[in-house]
Amino acid sequence: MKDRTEGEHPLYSNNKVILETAATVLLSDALHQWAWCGATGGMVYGAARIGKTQALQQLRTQLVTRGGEKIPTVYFSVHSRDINTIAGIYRLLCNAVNLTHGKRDQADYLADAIVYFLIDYAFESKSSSLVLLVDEMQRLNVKQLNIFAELYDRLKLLNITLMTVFIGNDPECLELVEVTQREQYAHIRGRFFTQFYKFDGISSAHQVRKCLKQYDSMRYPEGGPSYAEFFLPEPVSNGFTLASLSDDIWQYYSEYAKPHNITSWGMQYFVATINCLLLDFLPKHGVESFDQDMVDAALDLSGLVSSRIWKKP
Amino acid sequence: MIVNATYNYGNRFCRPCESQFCVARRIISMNPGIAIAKTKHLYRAMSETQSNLNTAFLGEDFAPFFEKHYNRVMHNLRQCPICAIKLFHTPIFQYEWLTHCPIHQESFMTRCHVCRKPFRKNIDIRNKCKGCGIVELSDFAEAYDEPQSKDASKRLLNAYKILFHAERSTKESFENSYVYFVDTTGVFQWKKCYESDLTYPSIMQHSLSDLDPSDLLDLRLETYSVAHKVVELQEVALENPKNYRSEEQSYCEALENLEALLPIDLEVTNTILDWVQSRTLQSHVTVLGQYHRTSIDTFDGWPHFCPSCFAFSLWFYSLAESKYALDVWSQKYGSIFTNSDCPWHFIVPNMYPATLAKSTADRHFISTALFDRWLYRRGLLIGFQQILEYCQSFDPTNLRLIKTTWFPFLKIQEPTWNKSDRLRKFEAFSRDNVIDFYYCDEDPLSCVKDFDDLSDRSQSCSMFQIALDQHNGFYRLEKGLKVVNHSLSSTDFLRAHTYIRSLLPAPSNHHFRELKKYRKILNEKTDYGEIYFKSSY
Repeated sequence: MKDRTEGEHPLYSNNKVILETAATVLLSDALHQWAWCGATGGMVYGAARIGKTQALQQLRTQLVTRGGEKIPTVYFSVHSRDINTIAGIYRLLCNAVNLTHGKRDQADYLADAIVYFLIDYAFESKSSSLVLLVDEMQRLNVKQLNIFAELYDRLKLLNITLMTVFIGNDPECLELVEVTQREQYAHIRGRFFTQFYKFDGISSAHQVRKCLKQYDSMRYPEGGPSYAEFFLPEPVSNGFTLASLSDDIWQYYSEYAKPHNITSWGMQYFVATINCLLLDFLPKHGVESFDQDMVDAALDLSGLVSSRIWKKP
Repeated sequence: MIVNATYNYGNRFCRPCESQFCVARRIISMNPGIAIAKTKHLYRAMSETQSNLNTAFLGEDFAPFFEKHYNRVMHNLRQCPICAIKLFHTPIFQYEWLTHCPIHQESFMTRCHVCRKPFRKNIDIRNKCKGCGIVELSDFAEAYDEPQSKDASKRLLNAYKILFHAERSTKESFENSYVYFVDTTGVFQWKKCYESDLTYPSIMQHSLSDLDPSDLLDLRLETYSVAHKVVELQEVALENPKNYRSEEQSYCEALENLEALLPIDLEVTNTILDWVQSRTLQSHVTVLGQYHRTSIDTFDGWPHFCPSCFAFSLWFYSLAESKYALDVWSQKYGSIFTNSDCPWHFIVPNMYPATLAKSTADRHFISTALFDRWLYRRGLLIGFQQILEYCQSFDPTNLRLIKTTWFPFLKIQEPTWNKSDRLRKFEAFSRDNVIDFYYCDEDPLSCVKDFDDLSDRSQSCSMFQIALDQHNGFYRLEKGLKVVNHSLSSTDFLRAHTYIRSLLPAPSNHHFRELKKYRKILNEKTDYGEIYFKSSY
């Protein structure tokens, strides 16, 4: 515990620990399925703060072709601006890939620059296909979706296939998808909105166990104690594992979430809850005092309910 | 990769043996909206990629050879029309003796066949042209629809191999390789309009060097001596070909223009300087500027003499004098270099080969611009070669030899000379000191500045004379630059002067450091003018 590396433990930093979840695996399968079947695009949607972005960040380096060659991926997050223009999206794209551009460059220039960038990127990756991940798609408007159709068309000239995957929050992004169901947006719908994947958080005791097992197996520093052992050295030496609490945790969570109609446990809140337990409550009060009150308190601190239901402070 | 990618480098479209022009065109096309000034460093960044590609394509031996030509001759760019559409240009296209593209067998053009404008090194972002400017993505797709065929690559590779050997081998081996190349593949359609059995004017004979070229292979004299055979003469159907004026022929007239010749002068000057540098290396102690800056006292240390430096010094002096101070003399005395025994007349503008014409029984030929430029360049090189040979041959201790054989060419005439007090002073001085001066008959005063200041070191007097004449030459040069020419304004001279200075190579050893002294003399009117007579002005 008093090791000099204590302050650098990954659990002390938010978002530094990335857990492999069942949803991530399923998402990986879906993306591979789309890529291998030649889909030009698809959409991943789910509740806010559920772990979609984290999962995609995790997967972006793992996409491969049928032959096992890596598929280069460009990640791009849409941000809101005062005026939502096409040039604005191109500019954001250039920024996302760190491509130099002038402050007053026209959309034409920006589009050319980003296309040439994608061509070079595919060439250097020795791949004829690219995946563009567009996060926070609910901030786009339907006109801006044409950008991605243009990118697809222009890259096609050089035999480069671009698959655009939109990631958005449920239900905001579905409103945009509904708009594309109109006849005049058939070209957009046909390209990007034929494949859908709903990203869920943790939804069973089994999934909780799988995540907690990773706390028992991941080690810091490398070859050192496990995450659980780092904070609970004595109980772990006596045979305690964090995974053994999974059933109880899931049960307490279910009872806590049921009145609020929360169907799945977002990864952000799950990690926050477990970190709270592992770093604070269990070392302070002891493993023996683990009970529902402790889990409820941790869930309160994670902000799960307050993210869904506004309560007057 | 994404983090470092601030510009589009266009690696996808990178091809071996591309010239800087080609890279510039691609990079500016791929970074639309970016100021050209900002993209300049991209050319340098591309060089590593290009270098690896060229090494893979040409082989390790050839790659450095290409690098040497990467920035070659960006003025008067020549381009194959098909290559222009396919966004390709390679330095080999700039060789003047090459008349057709080795890949497509098309004639080279100096104007874009799409927009009819001359090819420009500085591509503007507004210049959208498929043939010479920035292009759209669809044009890229069209240009790179299929990779350069193996056949085309092989032709290009062969061309570079020929060049590579030509610049490093003897005349005979180059000729052999040339014949082999033409006979077997036939892809180079070098026009052989001039056959060796035709009789060229005598001026051509002078240009064929009989001197030992062992030290000057790097100057590519041997390449030129073969290449001239394939330079095209233009056939004209006029009775008097000398009066013929075609569009191309107008370049011959432009040769008399200072700006037209400056690039050739600079190229040759840089070539010779490179050669001097490679020959003398760092161990050399003699400074290049010594021969025209030092005083009689410093010339006492004669062991510092270096033939190469001295030869360049004389050559450069003569070139500059004849080119930029020409009008000062020609108005009254004509050129001092027009000597029938010496091929120096090559560098005399009055003897430009523009007037060169060949007339057979029923056909007339006039020289083309390519030929004129080649001949002019060759004249400069031959001039240096002969000066160098002379400098290497004489014994530095026998200074009289220098005087008698060399000075007639450098002597500045003074027709209005009168026997003045200074001459009488000089005669008395030489009589008292029993010094046999080898001055020119016309103007002994030009040898000395003030006899009162001279010591009795007779040898030093002669050396001082050399130094003095060189001073004089540079002083004249400076004056010449400021004299308003009939055709060029003083501003033009000044601009040309600045151009020379900007393009001279960066100082890399003592020679080039000392070269600043030239520049200083060229740029500043110092008190050098006071140390010798001014009567010639």
